[in-house]
Amino acid sequence: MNHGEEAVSWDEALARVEGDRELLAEMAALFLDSGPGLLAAVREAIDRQDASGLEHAAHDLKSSVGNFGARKAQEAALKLEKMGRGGDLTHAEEAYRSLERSMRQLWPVLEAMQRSEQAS
Amino acid sequence: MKILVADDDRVQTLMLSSRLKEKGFKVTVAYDAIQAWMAAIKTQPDAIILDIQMPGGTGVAVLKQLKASTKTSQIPVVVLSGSIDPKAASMVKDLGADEFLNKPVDMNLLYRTLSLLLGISLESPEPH
Repeated sequence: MNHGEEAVSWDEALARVEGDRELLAEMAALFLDSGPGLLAAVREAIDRQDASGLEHAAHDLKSSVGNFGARKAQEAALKLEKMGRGGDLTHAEEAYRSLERSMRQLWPVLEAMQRSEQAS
Repeated sequence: MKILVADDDRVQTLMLSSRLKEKGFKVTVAYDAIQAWMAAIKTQPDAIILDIQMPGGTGVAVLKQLKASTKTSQIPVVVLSGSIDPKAASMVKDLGADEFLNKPVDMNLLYRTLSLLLGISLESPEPH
């Protein structure tokens, strides 16, 4: 497996599922389905200036991307979670853009991995 | 042996349930607090893996209820959390949780924890 080393740590992701690539592909499929909704919830919380909502939405996204060793996305989501927890959304827009960039890198990597697993 | 996995993160539950089934557990999954409580009563699992931050009543409420009810108080509960609150571990242990593990879950640590709590060896192909 050699897709998007920067967006995902495959070593970490595979270790977590004890080398079960089929399971990892199933997890990717599930996240490709649910992830956009999780990201949208973060966006909506920022739009509403809802600090508590942002904390929870960013936490949910952070947990999900953590399953793939997606460090950049995880760190960006953690930053937003902390902002929500602290109640200061002054820099949330900037942090969201960073999260969105990470997610845009992550989607195609997961899609490619899923296709590769289906083909094998 | 039966195990209940309660977590609203479907990617996480897929991973946990798949690995635990491989280890021989019969796994029930709940995606929110109410489902978790009902499944605990109905299936009487040997252990519960509980995400503390779930919608629909929160995992904290489920943990309190599990430990308060005579029907479930004896079931070991392993709490999972990705919380950034440094007091989260002591808080859930004060509420009766048997163990606290950080997310993302280290499966080897989870196996060791379940082995200790259930008095089994998860190195064997079938716990029971």
